[in-house]
Amino acid sequence: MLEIKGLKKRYRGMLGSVDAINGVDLKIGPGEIVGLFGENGAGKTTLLKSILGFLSYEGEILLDGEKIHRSNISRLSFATCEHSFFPNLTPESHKDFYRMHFGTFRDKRFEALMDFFELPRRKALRNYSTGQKNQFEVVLALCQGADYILMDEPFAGNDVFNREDFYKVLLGILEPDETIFLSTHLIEEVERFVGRAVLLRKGRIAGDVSLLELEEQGRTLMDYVKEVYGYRSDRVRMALEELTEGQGE
Amino acid sequence: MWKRLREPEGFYPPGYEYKNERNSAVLLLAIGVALSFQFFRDLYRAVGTLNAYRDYGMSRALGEGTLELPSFGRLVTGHWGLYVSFFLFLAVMMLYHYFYYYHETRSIYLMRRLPERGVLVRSCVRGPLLGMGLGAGFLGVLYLLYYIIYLLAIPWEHLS
Repeated sequence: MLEIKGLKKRYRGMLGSVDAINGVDLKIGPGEIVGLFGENGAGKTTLLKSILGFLSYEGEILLDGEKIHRSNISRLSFATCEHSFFPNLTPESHKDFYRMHFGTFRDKRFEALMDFFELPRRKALRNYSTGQKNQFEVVLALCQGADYILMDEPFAGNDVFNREDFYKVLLGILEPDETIFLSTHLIEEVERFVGRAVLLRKGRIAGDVSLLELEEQGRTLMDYVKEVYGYRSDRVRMALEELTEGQGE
Repeated sequence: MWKRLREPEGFYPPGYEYKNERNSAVLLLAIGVALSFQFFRDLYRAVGTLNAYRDYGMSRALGEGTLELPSFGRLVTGHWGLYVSFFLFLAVMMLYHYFYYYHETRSIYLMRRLPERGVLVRSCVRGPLLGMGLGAGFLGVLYLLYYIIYLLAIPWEHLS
């Protein structure tokens, strides 16, 4: 169980300070596939980076009741749109590196995913296309052998077919106790893939719902998101009316 | 150990192209060593002026200052700046290795997630520290050799 209690993160700058995360409480159990949604600046990336210990924060983040440190950090993996691989190394060298540092590295899964995405194995990653880089980033996160796989906009720059394929493969390969915490803007696209949606707004949890619950209510995830964010569907029409008003005069 | 020195990838960040760094460091050291060869010229001059007599008509006298022997330290100064540059360069490279993890990607995220303690720091400092160690060892041997040559070249009665 990944447990976040009273998480606060404040960025201090020359012009003052900004609360990126302002009192987040969240529990994610083993085997869950959780989507993390929110506008730009809602605190999604900050939340993920805090969990991984890349940022200092107030509050508590526990993994099965223990603070996250060197002894249990390998239970978390991370795929980011910024990419965390070594650009000059080939996938084969990455495999060696991961095997050396993560005893739980999943060789078989690595081979299968490399084959599935037809990623060249002996080409330095800097020479990959953006889509291939994203795929490889996620492949590494899935193959590390972690229990909790954190992903931050991992498909930015991938085409829709590519992403679709990926969701299918992901659902097929995940073991029951593997947990995915996926931050993305692609709400409608991941709706069929996630089991739970967490919505962040201005550093706070604005919504937390299971997709099953929504299905029972006959609502889509997008409906829920619009409701939570107070989205006004007539906003565009009104703006257009205002803009076009007087044009014929 | 020797194999690791010939294939020193393990001393640098993964994928880091260390050859330019190594060649630059070797060049700085080599220029310093090349300039240090002035030692032989200065030693030759110093030995040549020892006991130099001047003729004053029918008489000869020791020239002024001919018994003043330059110390070993004086003979080997003048090019230390390059050695300092060599060590400073390698020190700066340690920082550069850290920032390499922010280059093109954020591989720093992976390095900071590794369960083994100290991998990130080691990958930044090991190569430069090894270079510093080898450089210091080489210079130590070189200047020991110079000192032996100095002792052999200067007549013993001039050595105090």
